[in-house]
Amino acid sequence: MSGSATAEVLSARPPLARMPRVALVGNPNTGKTTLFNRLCGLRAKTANFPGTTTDARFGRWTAAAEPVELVDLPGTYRLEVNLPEARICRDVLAGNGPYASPDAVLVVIDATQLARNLCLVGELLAYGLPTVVALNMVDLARRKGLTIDLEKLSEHLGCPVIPIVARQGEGLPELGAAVSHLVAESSRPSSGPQPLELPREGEIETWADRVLEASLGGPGAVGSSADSFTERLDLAFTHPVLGSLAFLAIMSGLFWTVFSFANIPMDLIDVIFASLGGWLGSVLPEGAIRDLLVDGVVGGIAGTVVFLPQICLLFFLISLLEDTGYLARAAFVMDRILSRFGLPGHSFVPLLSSHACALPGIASTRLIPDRMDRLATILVAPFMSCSARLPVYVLLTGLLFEDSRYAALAFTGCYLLGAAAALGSAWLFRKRLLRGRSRPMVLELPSYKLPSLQTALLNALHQGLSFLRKAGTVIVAICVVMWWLSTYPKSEPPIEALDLRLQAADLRASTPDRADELIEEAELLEAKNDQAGSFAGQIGRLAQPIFAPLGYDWQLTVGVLTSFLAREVFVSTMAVLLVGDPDLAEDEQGVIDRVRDARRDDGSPLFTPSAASSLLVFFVLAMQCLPTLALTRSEAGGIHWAALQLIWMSGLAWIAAFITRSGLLALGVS
Amino acid sequence: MPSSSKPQQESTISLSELRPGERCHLDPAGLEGSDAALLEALGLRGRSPVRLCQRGDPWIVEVRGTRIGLADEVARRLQVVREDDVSTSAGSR
Repeated sequence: MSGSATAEVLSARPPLARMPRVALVGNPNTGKTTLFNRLCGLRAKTANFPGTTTDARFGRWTAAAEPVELVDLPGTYRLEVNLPEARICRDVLAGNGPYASPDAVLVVIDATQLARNLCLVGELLAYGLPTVVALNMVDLARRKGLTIDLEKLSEHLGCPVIPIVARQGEGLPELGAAVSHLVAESSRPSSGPQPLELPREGEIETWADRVLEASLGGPGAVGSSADSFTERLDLAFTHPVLGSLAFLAIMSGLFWTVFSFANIPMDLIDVIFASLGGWLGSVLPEGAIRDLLVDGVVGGIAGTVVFLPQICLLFFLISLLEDTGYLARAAFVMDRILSRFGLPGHSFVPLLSSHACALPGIASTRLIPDRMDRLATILVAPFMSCSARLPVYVLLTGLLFEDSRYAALAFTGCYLLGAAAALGSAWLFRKRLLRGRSRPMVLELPSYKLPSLQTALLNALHQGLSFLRKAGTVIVAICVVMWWLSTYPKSEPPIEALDLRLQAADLRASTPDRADELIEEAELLEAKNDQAGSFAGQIGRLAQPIFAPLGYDWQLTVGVLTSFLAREVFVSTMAVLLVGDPDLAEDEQGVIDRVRDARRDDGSPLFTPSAASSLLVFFVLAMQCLPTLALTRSEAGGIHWAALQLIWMSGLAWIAAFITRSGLLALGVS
Repeated sequence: MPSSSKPQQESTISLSELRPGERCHLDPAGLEGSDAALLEALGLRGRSPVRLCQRGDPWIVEVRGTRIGLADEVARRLQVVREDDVSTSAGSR
């Protein structure tokens, strides 16, 4: 959603030109998002509130007869506190700055937590806007033996109170009718019921207690969460040992599920896009347009969309976990370690997700409430060894160690080096750039409950679409540019390739199979020649002096530069440049065996132990993923953050690779 | 409704000195620093009645029916008045 469209939705317009706007307000963990999803489904749009990085969601809700525009304000415990989410709510409700005051307010409150939720209602009533209260989770309240006198509550608040169970869709027609009626009445001079008493400044809790007393028989009758089930679970889940073990088990299960099940749709996406590329290649005439569409556009889109199953599945599972109430406890378990490095416990899920792919990892930093904490997490998340690094690790550790046990140790070392670099960088960023200590954890521990599948599904779809919208356009554009750089200018075919084609023509009639093999060999030679002569190849030769101290010749430099598009490209580039067979990239052991003997232009071995070690360290630490940079730019709120990430990670990678090579050379390892 | 003036008999201690199950009132003077706004928003504000549910890191308290986890650092900084002390002081008034 563009900024201008956001402004259109949130700004003032003549009343007749737009549908009525209803602000959805509520404490966190009251089921506000579940209700919004139920009412608006996938028709919801997301944007940032003007001048902030806080998500604004708005959707069209056909409430009874007339559709209304529902604006989902950030969850806030109170309005009159000095917190960003509260400030946004206050500005929207009062119609300050770029916002237009809503026509009505729909406030969602948790029926089992009325003592706290009514404080927010009291603050809202002071704005004098037509208000409807959605009393959510009445089923849980009933199970707890709470009886709420709706009429008395409504009378005290001076507004309709509609009991609902958002996750099951109960009470939504009645809620729609109440909102519709209120919106219709809102254009007339205020004649509806008024609150019996408005809270006085500084006495909001006392007012809430009085309302409770009248509606329920006193605050002691409701809202105690002190059941032994919750107490026992909290004791286990936050325990230093038991809690850590439970955390490890749950997170292992989560990532096993993501890795196991996301592969199926990912393979399917690969097949679909390969077929689409093949079909386009067969119907379009040969030339630049065909190459652009097949290799640039379709290839670029495939490279982005292939991440979608991982992102959707990850967010589906995280949404389920969050809904159970467990994630809040898990955050405290990890806070003990991460806080030493200036990161909050909230950072753990993004950092762990980044082991699959930094894209969903960075996207999930939205769970972190503090902006400085969130920025630090975004900046360091790509240090975590993502699955795209795996083929490179396999190639280089295989080259370095013929004994698979040592190769496995080196492999593990890569993961540890990445994690150490992330924590060390976070510590440094918090000391120098993002100064201030990580906000100590203060977190509501919501009641344990069964998660809602529908909410998790909608959340996963919403996150997936949001990822495609935000990152997709930029990523595809970048992929097209990188394709162009590595494809043009076209080189004259090498003489060896021309010879092979001539031989193939001679053999076509007698041994067609042999002719096909020769043509294939010629094409591979041409591909290798094209790569070397392309702009990317030329840049590789130009940039080689920068990488010379690390022990890389022009071929390795081209490999490093082309893998800037995506790390896994390194293996296929090496396969083309050194082996002349891109298909070997599928067969890791084949590439390792063949590139071991690769030579530099002067005839010396290409992959000396010191050069291969330096390259491995470089790949662990360097920022070589354009899609991640594009997402950092959009999530952190500026291209300068992406630039900092690129410079810091790649600079650190260069220095660490240089130290590695120099150290090995000093020890007599060539 | 508790009086807004603080009687001398009330002795202020750190929340971390309480035992699980003990009740207290927050000392508004203890609500300082960058977390004050969040604590206030969660209901941990001047003279709010609080019950300590669990000691350790996190400390878990219940305020107005809501369980709130607090990092050790926050719990040690929060100043409270034991409910016994509040009752005693209220009785002497």
